[in-house]
Amino acid sequence: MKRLSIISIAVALAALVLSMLAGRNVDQQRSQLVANQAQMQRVYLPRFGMDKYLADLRWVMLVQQMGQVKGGKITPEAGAYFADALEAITDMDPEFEKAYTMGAMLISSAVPIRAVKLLEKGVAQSRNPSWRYYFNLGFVAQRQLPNAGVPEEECQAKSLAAYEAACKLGDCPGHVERAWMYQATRGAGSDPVKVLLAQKDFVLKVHTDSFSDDSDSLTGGTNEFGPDSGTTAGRLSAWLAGRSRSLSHDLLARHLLETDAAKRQSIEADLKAVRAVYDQIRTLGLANADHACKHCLSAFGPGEFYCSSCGQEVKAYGYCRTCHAANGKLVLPHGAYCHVCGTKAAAKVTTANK
Amino acid sequence: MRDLIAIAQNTFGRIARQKAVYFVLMSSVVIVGAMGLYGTLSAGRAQIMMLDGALAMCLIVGLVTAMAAALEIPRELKEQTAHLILSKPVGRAQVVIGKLRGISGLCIMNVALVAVASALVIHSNYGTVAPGYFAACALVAAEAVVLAAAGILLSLFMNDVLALVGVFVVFAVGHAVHVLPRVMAEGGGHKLAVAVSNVLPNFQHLDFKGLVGNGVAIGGAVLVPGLLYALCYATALTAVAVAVFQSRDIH
Repeated sequence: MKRLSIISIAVALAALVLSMLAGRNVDQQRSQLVANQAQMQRVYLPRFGMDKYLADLRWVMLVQQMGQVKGGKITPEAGAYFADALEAITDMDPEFEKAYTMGAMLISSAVPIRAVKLLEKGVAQSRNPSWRYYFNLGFVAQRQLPNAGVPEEECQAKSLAAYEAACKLGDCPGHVERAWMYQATRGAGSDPVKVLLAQKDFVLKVHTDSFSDDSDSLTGGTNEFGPDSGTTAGRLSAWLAGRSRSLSHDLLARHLLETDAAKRQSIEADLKAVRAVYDQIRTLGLANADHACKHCLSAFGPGEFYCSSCGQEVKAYGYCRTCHAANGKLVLPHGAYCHVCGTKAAAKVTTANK
Repeated sequence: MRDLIAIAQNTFGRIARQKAVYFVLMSSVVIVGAMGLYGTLSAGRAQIMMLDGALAMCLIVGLVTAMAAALEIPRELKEQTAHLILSKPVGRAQVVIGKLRGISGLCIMNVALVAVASALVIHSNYGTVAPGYFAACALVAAEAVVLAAAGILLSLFMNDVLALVGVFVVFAVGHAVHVLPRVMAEGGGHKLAVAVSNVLPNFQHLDFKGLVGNGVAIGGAVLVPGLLYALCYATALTAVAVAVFQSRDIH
């Protein structure tokens, strides 16, 4: 046995020190890429550097097992098994969105508390959690969590906060915004007119908040289709305008059939309230609804003198008044001038959302 | 230098001639292609699965190739070809470094083959490959080089079977050691854990497969220090191997 070479050992030590420095540099770069301390500090059992691939394979197995659930009803035991599997998958891949969102919905009926925890883990560990995490969290907290013995108010507050967070991300679809509105106005009861009034107040509050706080992503600016149509408040008010319209149709139908004078008066008061909601939204410019029947709130097109829905006279627009006055012709100009008499047409007008 | 290149070429050629290597390479690419069929079964994650599969297959191919390092020196000592080489004016350091260079070259080539073939398969299915994919593959190849160096070092202490197991243990420990400081988050144990994770091979420094699979583009800022880490660590292991081989009596 010869003596160990001093030069080799010195080279080894120097290289080891350099490797430590390089490794520290890699760690710093990684923390900048991930920028999520919860993900950086997670403690889990690594799987030979193939964590993400093994998470994929486990997910495929889990999807097959989910399909084998008889009648779509998951027992608490099966729910706990699925929850453990989802926990393991998301340990291996902390950004596995499908495992969080789809998995949580699957187990929510059997083990709602674990479903909520899974979604909260997803929110904490993902670099950019999408609106789906928050929406599903809100949904599970609203619908399933009370069944697990969690106080109702706590569940609803959690749900409301989650829906709001989803809407603040800015890229969520309309049903998420409506879920937020329904949840925020759930105290209004079951009377549709009272609900509508509460929803109107909510939309106005969202509209006001979005202009009072510049950092709030609820403000999406304007676009060519109308004021505020790119914002949560704009989209919700457009929906509210449609809701007012359908509600006014229902009330008119009931009014027509009602024989009791007191009830007719009550319906008329409701109709007045619904029309006020519609007018208020329109006045604020939140809904793109310039041409609607004052009676039933139905939209009408250019050159229409009577509402096609209720038959009431409406204020016609979009026709050449010169041609109409001179020889009773109804001409609808397509450009800036009437193509029959050459009279300059009125300013371009917009129609209500049908 | 010419002797070193000759040893490296000889090692490279001998392992590259083994048909099992090509079977592993082909199987890897087939597995990556098959991942594309998992669209329905994975609830719409086929593209991600192909990418994750490709990176995992690169790692497996790198590991399998690097394991050959554990067999090289014991085999030469057993067949006594080492005696023939060492009877010529070739230093023991050259033998060790030459072996490592040959096996490292093969590791890099095999990982590159799987990476490129998988990228072609992914591109033919989806028309795009994730940004950072090739950088992640380069880091996998670097990990294989470190494993090859570890294999050569272990083969000087153990017989070939034990050295093979040892390489796998280094691979497993290297991928788990980064969690150690987090498990022992407080007290003196934490400092010890940090020290251990610095001295043992820490393959977390070379593992960006998860991030690339989740759409994070990694560039030179990660690639350069990552490759530097692998180079330095492999150098350290090789220097120890050279020191051990030089001090060893060969009969």
